[in-house]
Order: sequence, then C-alpha cells, then structure tokens
Amino acid sequence: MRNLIKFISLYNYSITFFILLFASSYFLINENFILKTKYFNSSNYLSGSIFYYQSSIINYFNLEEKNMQLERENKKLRDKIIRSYSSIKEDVDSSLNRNYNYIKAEVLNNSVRKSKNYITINKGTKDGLKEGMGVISSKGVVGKVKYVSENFATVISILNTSFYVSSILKKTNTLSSVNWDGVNPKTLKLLYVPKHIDIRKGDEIISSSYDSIFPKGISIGKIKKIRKDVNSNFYDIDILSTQDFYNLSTVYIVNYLLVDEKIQLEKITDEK
Amino acid sequence: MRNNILLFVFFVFLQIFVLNKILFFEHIILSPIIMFLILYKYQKDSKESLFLGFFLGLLVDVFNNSLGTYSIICLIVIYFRNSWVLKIIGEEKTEELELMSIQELGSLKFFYYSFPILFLFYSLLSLLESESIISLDNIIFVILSSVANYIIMLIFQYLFLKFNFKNEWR
Repeated sequence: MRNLIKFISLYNYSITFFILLFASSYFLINENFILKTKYFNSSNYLSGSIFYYQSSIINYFNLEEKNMQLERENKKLRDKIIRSYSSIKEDVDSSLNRNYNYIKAEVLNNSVRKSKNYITINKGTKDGLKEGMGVISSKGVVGKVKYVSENFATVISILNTSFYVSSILKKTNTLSSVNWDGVNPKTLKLLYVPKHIDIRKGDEIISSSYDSIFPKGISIGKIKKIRKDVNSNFYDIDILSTQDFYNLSTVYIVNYLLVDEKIQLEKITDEK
Repeated sequence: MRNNILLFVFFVFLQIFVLNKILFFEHIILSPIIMFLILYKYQKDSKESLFLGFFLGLLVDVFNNSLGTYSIICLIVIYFRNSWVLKIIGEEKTEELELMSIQELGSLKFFYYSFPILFLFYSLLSLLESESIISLDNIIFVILSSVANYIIMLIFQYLFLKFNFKNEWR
C-alpha cells in the first residue's frame, strides 16, 4: 500500500495527464452518442441564443452581398414563372412541386472543416420543423434537419461524410447518389453512375425526390472530374458543389406535405 | 492581474463566438487559446496546467459542438509544451520565468519554443476534425494557420505584455 501511494505521488503528474486524456477521449468517441441525447437539445437552446445575436451582428456586415443574392434569386424565380407558362412539362413539374412548403430560416452557426459538419438554424418545432426535413438554399441542396428544439434546429450538412443525397444526372436522368468524402468542401462525390452512361464535364446533377426529402430538380453540382476505375462498374466522379458553404446565411426548410402518406403506402407495399 | 484575467476571458470569448466560425482565406483559423497555453508560466510537473488545458478546451468544445476535440488537443499540447520548454531552455532558467513570452526568451528561442507547439496544435486539430491530415488542403491549413497565429501572437505580446511586464508581471 505504501509503495502504491509512493508510486502515485511520484507519478501524479503523468497519472493526471492520462486520466484527463482518457476523459477527453471518452467525450470524443461518444460525441455522436451525446449529440443524440436530449442534452443536445437543451444546450442547443443556450448556444443557439448566443449564435443568434452573433449572427445578427455578422449579417449586418453582409447586407450588401445578401441583397445581391436575393436579386439573383428573384431573377431566377421570375424566369421560372415565365418558363412555366410556355412549357407543359414545366406545368407538370410545378404541380408536383406544389406538394412542398418552404420555411425560411437564418443560419446561426455553420462549420465546414470537420468531417461531420452541422449547421444551426433559427427555426424550431414552433415554426413547424420536424426531423428529417430537407434544407435548401437559393443555390442548391444544403442538408437535412437532424435535431429540433422549440426555437432552433441542427442540420446535417451535405458536407458530412455520413450523409447521402439521392440525385439524378439532369442530361440522362440516371439515378445516382451524392456524398462528401471529407476532403475539399467545394467538391462532392457522385456515386453509382454506370460506365455505359455518356457523361461529360459540366453536366448538372440535381435532386431526385426519390428520398422524399427534396423536391425534384434542386441543383447539387456540376461534374468536375471523371475517372474510370478498371476494377469497378461505376465511374469515379468529382462534382463541384453549387452551394458555397463558406457564405451560407439564408436557407429554406422543405416540408413535403405528402411524406407521411407516401411512407405509409410504401410500408404497406413492403409488408405485402 | 485583473486586467490579465479580463484579457484572458475576452480572448476565450473571441475564440468561441467569432474566430471559430471564420475561416480566413478558406485555410486559416485563428486560435487565441493556444496563445495562452504557450505563454502560461511553467511549473515543474504542474497539474494545474493540465487542468487549465483540459477545461479551456472543454469550454471551447461545448460551444463548438465538438465535445472532446479541443479538450484532447489542449491537453496534449500543454503536456508536450511542459517537456518541450525544458529541452529548449533548460529546467533552471525555465522556472525563473514568469511568462514564456518573447520578451523573456528572446526572438529566436521563442520561435523554437512556440512554433512546434503551434504546429502540433493545428496538426491535431486537422487530424481530429477532418479525420485526415495527409491531404494538400489540410497541410496548407496547418502551415498557414501556424504562421498566422505566430504573427498574431507576436503582435499581442508587443501590444499587451510590454506594459504589464513593468507593472504587474515582474
């Protein structure tokens, strides 16, 4: 016993270091678990409130850029309205997209450097947000709502290695999937495009609506680099994200009005 | 002393609510907390310094939604610092110093002492946050952030510590 006490007093500095190292490693490894607990939602309230005031100050300095962004968005919407009058196909698409509601939200906190990035927004359950809703901006797909508290929500960003978006190649209508490999925040990976499909650099990738999260046609990115791996039946494709995550201030939450009905029907079909 | 505590609190808040959210030139993160870990007085086998590193990191983690990341980095950095400083300056001289600043160490020794610590801090940050360090983007991030923080640290010391030296720290 005396030897043990002697040992502890002799090496108490290193022992303290290893105890604290163990504690921080435990936090690090269980981070995802802790995020899932209710603790996250209550701490979300505190940090969300602070982020709210912080982003109000930062947003003030970005007003000019925000105005320009809104002007571009207005122009895009006007063009869309004009096109919808002249094309029957557009009419069909817009009638499908009428099943979606959009809730505007401000970004309070956003990270791009981690491999699992999250965004905090200033809308919560009292604004009608639910877990699993899609999040877009005027430029394209942003992510999916992960957790919701009364006034705030966290969004799993498309810059999160565990998030996949159902997508299609606009030119060929080929179904594919988009994921981030955690390297460059401006480059995403386009997965499961078979080698027999004719694709070119610059081809646009849009959301497919198959996952009931995003309406069809929301821009995700453009093909930047195409590689052919001899050992695979699919292309290895890098796409340039249309969304600039370094300058994300306003987003829209997508509320698919028929999601419950669709899921219910698919569930019954699977069971039978 | 009160001024130093206020300065410390101000920089911690600056890191948590402003600097952690801004990526300068898409590659640089400024981190005032590493400055305090570098400048903090050396004491042989000081458990207080380990606790300071751990809780400072934990505080940043709580507001950064990155529980464990900064606390493990700050802890390793302060442990490394405590042995690194002995190699650079030697135990006897180190214990005499009130602060590990450029005014006390001199330009060259301060560079040898602080730059590897900054480099370690950003390498660990890059490794833990993006789960890979061997990408060009991450290497640029580590180098540029270390250099930028070194410059900021020099400016800080010339602006704030000179006065304090005469009045409080000595």
